[in-house]
Amino acid sequence: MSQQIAVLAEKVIAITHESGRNGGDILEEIASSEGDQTMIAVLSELDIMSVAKILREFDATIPSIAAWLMDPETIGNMLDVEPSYWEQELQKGAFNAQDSVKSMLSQIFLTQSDDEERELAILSAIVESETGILYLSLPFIGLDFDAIDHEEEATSGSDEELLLKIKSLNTSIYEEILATAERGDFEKIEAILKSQANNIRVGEISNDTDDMFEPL
Amino acid sequence: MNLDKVRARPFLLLMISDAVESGSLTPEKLAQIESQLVDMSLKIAKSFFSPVISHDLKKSCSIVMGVTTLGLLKLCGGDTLSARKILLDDSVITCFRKGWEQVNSLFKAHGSDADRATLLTNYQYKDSEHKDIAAIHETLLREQLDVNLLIEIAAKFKNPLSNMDIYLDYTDEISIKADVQLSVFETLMKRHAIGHQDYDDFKNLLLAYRDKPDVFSAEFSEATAVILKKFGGQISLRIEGWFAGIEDNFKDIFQLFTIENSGPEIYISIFNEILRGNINAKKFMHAYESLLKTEKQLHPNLKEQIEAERSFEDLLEAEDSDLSHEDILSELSHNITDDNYS
Repeated sequence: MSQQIAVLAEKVIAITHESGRNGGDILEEIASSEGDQTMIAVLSELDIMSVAKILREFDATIPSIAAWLMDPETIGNMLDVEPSYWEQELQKGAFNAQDSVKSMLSQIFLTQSDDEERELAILSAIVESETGILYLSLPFIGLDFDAIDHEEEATSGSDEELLLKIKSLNTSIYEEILATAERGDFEKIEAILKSQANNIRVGEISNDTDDMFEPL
Repeated sequence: MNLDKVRARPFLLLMISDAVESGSLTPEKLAQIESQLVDMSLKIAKSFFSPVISHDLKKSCSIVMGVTTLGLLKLCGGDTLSARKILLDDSVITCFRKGWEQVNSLFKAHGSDADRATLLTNYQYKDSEHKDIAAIHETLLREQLDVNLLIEIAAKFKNPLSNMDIYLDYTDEISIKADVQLSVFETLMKRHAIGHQDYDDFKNLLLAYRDKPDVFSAEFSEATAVILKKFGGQISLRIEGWFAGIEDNFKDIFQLFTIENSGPEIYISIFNEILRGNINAKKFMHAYESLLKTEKQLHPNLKEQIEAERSFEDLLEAEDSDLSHEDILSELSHNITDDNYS
């Protein structure tokens, strides 16, 4: 890694620490002044929590350039840790994990020029993770699946649009999402995703404190 | 005077720093203690809060400090020598586990639906302050056990005449006390074989109580003795202290009623006083109907409540015979424009 990339990455991390939105704007600046390749190099130097924090600040209407250029594997990893940020917003109030996931997924799947190969690679990277299907299903819990018109083009920005996009990429993943969303309990899935993300975030803690909650 | 108070630091940290100074705690053992405290804090953060929010991490650290200190104090009984021995020979995890036992007892007292994360925040202990963490824990637990006891008392003394329990959060001592007072009064009525519609006997009993306070006091203590015996245990201990106040309150109420009024009016007024206005209107319809015409205006609230009850019942009946929910919905949907024009 060149000195320049390291300096830029450090700068982006520091700015992202204050605001994910500003972090995303800086990436955009780097891409326009230094070129996409430099931006991608910087992006690959960022820690996954920072990447997640940046992308959460953007959505389908104003997508982040990072979402377009990140490699599929990083996107999968990022979505694994993203639920760690939910608690913070829950504490602030007026936050809904379903909307948050929907906005992340729409940004990833609905805003890029149709590059199905790449989108399929991203989708596969997401379901690689143990909780990938749960993450993909969360926005669709409570949706009336029978009412979906599979022939007509879905309204832009609707839940159906996102779901049908996934269906067009991979039907078997779509079927799994359907089954999970129909059976799944929203609060339980939300809790699983959060706890999985928190575990990744905290990383390998030495296991000699594992019995801390056991009665003496 | 306690060491931790004088030096304004948690007992756990004092014991550690003293052991370091005296050389009995090696740098290796110290490093191990530190890393275990950090690990436990991270585990608290990820289990109850969030590991990405810095104030949540800080909160988790101070909770570990509080719970571990509480556990150490429990284990050593405040004895510094024994505390040092525990830290050297055993571990801070053992201290935490002892503290967690206490925390668990508080969780249990609050029931399975309790917000454990919020309860945990009570155990926060910063490294530069002094807190009597053991006393804090005892208070939290005692208060919650008392709330549980009050809920139990409320359930035992639930009475259809009273509307006191319509509030969801029914642990207000004054309301529960009113229900107990009601129960004492019904015991006294029963003693004289006075039913709820024997208005004239009712009035005579009150006159007798008003004119002979000693007789009332004697009967009151007998009635309360019966109640105490019936419930026994903690409930009796808890409500026993209320009886002096209840007796005085009765004597005040006896002075208040208007002797010229009819039996039914006095009946309503007395129960209204005992229950601080929260009578169940339904149960007093018969008395209201028996009031003299001029007395009805003395109870406008009761009249309103009875009327509300009646119209509610009419509504229920009407619903049975009238349109079903689906009918009403489909009726409504005719008037909604179809804007599904995609």
